[in-house]
Amino acid sequence: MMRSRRSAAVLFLTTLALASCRRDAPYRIGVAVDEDGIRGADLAAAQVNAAGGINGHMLELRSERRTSSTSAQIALASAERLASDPSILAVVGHTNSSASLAASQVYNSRHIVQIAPTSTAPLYTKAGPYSFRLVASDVHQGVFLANVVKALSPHPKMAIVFVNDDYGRALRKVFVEQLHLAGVTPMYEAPYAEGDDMTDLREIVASLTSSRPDLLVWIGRAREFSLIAAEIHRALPTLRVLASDGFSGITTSRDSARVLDGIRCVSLLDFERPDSALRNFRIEYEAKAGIGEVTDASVLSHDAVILLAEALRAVGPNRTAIRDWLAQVGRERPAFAGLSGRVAFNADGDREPQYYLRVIGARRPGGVRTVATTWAAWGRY
Amino acid sequence: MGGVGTVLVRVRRSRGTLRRALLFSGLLVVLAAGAAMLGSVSLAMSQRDAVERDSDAFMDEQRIADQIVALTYEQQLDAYRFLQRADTLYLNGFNARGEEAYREMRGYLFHELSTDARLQVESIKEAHQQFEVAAERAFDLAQRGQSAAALLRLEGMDRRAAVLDAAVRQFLQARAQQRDAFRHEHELLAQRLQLALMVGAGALVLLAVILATVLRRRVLVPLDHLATAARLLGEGDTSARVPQQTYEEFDLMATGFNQMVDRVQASREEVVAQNHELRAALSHLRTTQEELVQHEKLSAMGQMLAGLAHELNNPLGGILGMAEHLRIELAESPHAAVREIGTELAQPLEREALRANALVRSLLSFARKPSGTLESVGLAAAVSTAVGLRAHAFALAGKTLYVNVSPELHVLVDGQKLQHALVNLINNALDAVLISGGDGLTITAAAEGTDLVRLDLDDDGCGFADVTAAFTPFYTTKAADKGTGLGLVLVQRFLKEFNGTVTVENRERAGARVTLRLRRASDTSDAIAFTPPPQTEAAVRVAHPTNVSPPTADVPRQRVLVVDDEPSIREVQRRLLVRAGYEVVVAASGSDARQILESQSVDLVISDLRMPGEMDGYDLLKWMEVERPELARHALLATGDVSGAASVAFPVPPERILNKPFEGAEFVRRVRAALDQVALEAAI
Repeated sequence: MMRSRRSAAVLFLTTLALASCRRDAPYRIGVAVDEDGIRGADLAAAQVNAAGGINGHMLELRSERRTSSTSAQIALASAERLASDPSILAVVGHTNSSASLAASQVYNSRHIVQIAPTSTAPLYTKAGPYSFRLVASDVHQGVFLANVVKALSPHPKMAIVFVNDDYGRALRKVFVEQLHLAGVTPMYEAPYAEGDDMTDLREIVASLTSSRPDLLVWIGRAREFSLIAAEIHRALPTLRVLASDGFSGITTSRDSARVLDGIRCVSLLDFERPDSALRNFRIEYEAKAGIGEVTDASVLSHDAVILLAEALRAVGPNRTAIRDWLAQVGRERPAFAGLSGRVAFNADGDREPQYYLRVIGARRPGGVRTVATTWAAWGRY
Repeated sequence: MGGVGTVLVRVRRSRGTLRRALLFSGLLVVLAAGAAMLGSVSLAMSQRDAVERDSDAFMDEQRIADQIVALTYEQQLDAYRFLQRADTLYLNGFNARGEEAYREMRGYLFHELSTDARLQVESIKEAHQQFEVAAERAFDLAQRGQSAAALLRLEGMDRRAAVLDAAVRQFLQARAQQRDAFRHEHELLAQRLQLALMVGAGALVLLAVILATVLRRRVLVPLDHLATAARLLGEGDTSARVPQQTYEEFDLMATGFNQMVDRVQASREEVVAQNHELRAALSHLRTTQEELVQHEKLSAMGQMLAGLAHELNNPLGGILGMAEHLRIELAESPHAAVREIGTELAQPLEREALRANALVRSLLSFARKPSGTLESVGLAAAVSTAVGLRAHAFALAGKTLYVNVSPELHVLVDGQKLQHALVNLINNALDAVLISGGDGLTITAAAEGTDLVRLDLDDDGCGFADVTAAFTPFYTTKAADKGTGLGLVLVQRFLKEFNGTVTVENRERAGARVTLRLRRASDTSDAIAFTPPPQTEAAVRVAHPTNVSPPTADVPRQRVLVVDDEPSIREVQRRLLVRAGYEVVVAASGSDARQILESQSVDLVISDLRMPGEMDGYDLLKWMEVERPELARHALLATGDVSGAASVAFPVPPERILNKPFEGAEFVRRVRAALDQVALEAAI
């Protein structure tokens, strides 16, 4: 009996070794996004490999976990590491516009395709032909936000707080220009820096309190707003808050204090779209993640990985060929049908604009609610 | 190699091939050097451009940095001014300069920067962002009336500005380091590449030289040797050889080529030799054929002449005998008129018959077969014979034929061939003087030294058109029916057989001279005498039978049997013998003679040799040798074939041969001598 088990084990190990020997080298993609994005990318890679891989090659992700930071300097270091790895065929990243913009210089110089899932700064895709993104430029979001403002209040007493980086400065500029076109002048504008401490932020609260706007447009991420949300609510209980897509990562689980409830924010995709694939992804994602709901970053990172897998399946492990294939998506070749919807790139590598307005905490305990489901409704200039 | 020595091919180098090879090598070197120069220049230009681009970029980055720092300072000033005066002009200026500074920072985006430089750019951006945020906080505080706090904030702004300034300096420092490293790297690369190009160019040049040398030594020179030898061989120079080669392959080729040339040379020499032999044989064959034809012609003519002479001699003998008898009879006539007739008619008749007889003898002499041996021949007689044959032709043409040859000159020749040669030369002279209208031919002879006799034939004819071609077979300037072009060739051939020479030349004034040099005969005792020709009518000597005295009357008359098929000859003989006092019995044939001899007694038989019928003179003689041997031993045989050319050998000694036509006195003398011999035998 013992002898027979040993033989079976030897046979199994031999078969395994032979199988591993026959297996082709995996295709490797770099991932430099936040945790939400990494989860979505992992699910996509698992989905691809479960389906047999890419032309016999397994899809392997190399994740830069430290890139959850929005720091451009950290992004540069991560990009340098990924670009130095000759097995990396493309990169999904980075976390925000500043990080993506900084890293894009490295990738373009090394001829590596970079698909930014959530970076919206207009300058990003100007960096070079290897820069793509699964969202539209903030040129469109500025218009969208301005239209939303006008819909909410024709003559708002509006304050703008924006993060003073590539993302916030660019979006704020387009937004303010659109407001001027609509005859609206913000009564207060204040920049902030990522990582500002409470002292700094409270001075913003103080200024807001003294200027008493009825509408606050927050162009930035939710972390800093969350820090002062309660104080703002106390000081200005009727203040309505409209946030840019920087709030898209906010989920119910991350706002346990429910300080963000009622805030309207720009969403890059419609989670309530009746799509079985999206629904199944959400179920699978939430089951595996166990800590929260899907976000824009997780879905868009998933789509980016699947899209790159399609490119690899079509052209093989050739960086330039991958770039050329992607550039044709939605133009010379059909658009890609992802969980985030139809993906088609324009000549700059930007996706067609699609924005949705969501109200945070509107359906608790169900998450966010999309109040405007189409770009067409709010996206007119 | 045989007799042909090995001639190594002088290395007549194929200038074209070598020139092309050298040109190719030179071109290769030039191209290599040119490529190296171009590469160096291109590399230097590329390096210069790269450095210039980098310098321009660095200058632009410097400018951007200066702008950022300057704008930041201005923003600081605006911030302080705003705090002092709360004028929104400064606030707007602060924001505008901030936007401008941000735009300048974006300019770094499209520069090729090192990671360190990019990190510094990001540091600059972050410092500037924080600088602006700090300023905005100060502005908020100021607007809320918290000036002190605002000033404190501005200090924070200043710190951020200092950080920015430091970041800018670090950026520039990083960029300077990057630039220096870039320049150093490019300079180093350029130096290495230039060195590599120079080494490469040198190596190429060396390689080209080596290749050219090797190519020349190993391939071109051997091929040139082979090509030169092949060309010389193609031009027919079979002495061309390829020298021994250093390398085995070419040496094998050279050896094979040389062996092939050896075989070609041997074959060629063999072919040439055979060709020469064939040509000589063909020439000899043609000459021999023509000579044979000529000889055949001459032989046939000789036979014809012999036959003709035989046939002429019988009637001529009759005529001569009759004329002689007639003259004698008429001379004995008592009538003066009759004797005058004898003098005026019979005597000329006899004389002409004698002349005809001499001519026939000359013809027979000419037609006689060459003896094939050299004999002492009287030159004057030989010349006379030949001249006699053509004298009449000269006389008819009104040309003179003068001969001055001493009878004492004897030469060692084949007499017949000498006659043929002389007749040929005399004929040529006659043809020449007929053409030119000259006077004639002079033949003179003289001893030349002790061993030679020189015979000159000088005419004043047209001369030789080409003296050098005179002895060329078939060369003739005569009309087709006049000459074969072999006359002088035969003369030369004959003279060569005589160990003599013949030369021709054109005389100064006119005509030609043919000179024969003949070996002089040392002993003239056995000299062959030729029948002298009848030089002129007056020269013909007339024999007079009056000198023959008849036998005495008291002597019993001896009986002679005359056998001849020619009635006139038979009658002449009968008359001569009767007149001489003999009793004569005649028979017309051998058979008749046999019958007579069987029934009658005779003392002497005179028989013609050639007679028709079943028994001619030969048969009769044989019969007599058996039946009447005493008659056979003394029988005289008459023949018109005086030369024997057309008949078999005579069956009796020459002294018992009577040549027709014979003169009466001689005939009687010979008969008398024979009868004396018979009588002598009987007495014994």
